[in-house]
Amino acid sequence: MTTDSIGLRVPSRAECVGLLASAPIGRIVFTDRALPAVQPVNFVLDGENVVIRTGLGTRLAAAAHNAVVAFEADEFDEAGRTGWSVTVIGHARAVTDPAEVERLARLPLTPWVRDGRDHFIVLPIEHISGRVVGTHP
Amino acid sequence: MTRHTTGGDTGRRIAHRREQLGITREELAERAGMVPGYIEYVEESTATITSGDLLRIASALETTVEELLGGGLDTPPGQGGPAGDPRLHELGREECLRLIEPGGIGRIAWNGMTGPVVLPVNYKVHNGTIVFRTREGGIVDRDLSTGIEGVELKVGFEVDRIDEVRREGWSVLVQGPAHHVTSPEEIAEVAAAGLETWAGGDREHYLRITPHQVSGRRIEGL
Repeated sequence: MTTDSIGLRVPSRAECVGLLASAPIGRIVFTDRALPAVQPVNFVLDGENVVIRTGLGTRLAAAAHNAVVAFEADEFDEAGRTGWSVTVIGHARAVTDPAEVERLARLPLTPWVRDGRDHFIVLPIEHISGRVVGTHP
Repeated sequence: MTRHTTGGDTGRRIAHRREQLGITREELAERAGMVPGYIEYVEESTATITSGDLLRIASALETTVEELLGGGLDTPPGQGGPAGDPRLHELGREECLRLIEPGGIGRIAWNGMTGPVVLPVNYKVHNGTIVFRTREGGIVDRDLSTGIEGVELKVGFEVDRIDEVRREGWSVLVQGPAHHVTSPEEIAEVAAAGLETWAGGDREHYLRITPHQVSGRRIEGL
């Protein structure tokens, strides 16, 4: 772990992935009607991919199809003084191959909001970065 | 860990869904990482099952726990349906602003020069605007300065409170222009809001987001 110029610690790629894996939810950052949108989602790490399950026909499903999106997770104490955050950037894609859908459906990932039909978004971890603030690991 | 009672309707739904997929109890058991006897037990007896187990069965059946529990029971009559209506859980502007009013951690997001950027910050609400501190010369500072008089970058700012164990909570998204707080009067006024900073250092800027679009939802999972 290195330290940046103002004393925040910068975790390595492996540490970032580890922190991300420990987060129960993440937030996907996408563009919706020309504005930045952020939405909490349930996710699971599948190799070098972040896998998200959303409803078919939602704005997120439309926005995350073949688009560069960010995915963020964090954890902070009550006062917001110590904690960490990790951000993933990548080209998200909608999963259409039925065999892949079937495989992804077996991952421990259930949608939080019942939207009826399911839609998987796969976000490869093309770029990952993080920061650790204070004494929190 | 929440426990649910199966057998009865839930057991029948599990069996029905399994039959829809054309798989046997053995196959379902294998997919869910359980023994076939347990699937039979869950389908036919009145048993208590943990959320975790129900979740594994739901995933193996390519459906949701809510569907297996007979989803929609908690929704007011006449609303929603098998597909679920997200409008049920949407929050109005006033409620969204009320929820974020106490301040705390929020995440600012924008389309930066090299792609989307998102950053958690400590914020306060002051005079109906969202205020937070950022390091002078840092990425927020640089990207937010469009360099054109009167043109401000539109950002998103998200706040949420989610109980991961109970899988419920809320999320609010504010979208609007962000600007640097530059006049001494404004700075003094904002400093009075008492913002904490975690980065330390004294050369900092205040940024203010004016809420134009405000939206939010209640999240109810298992």
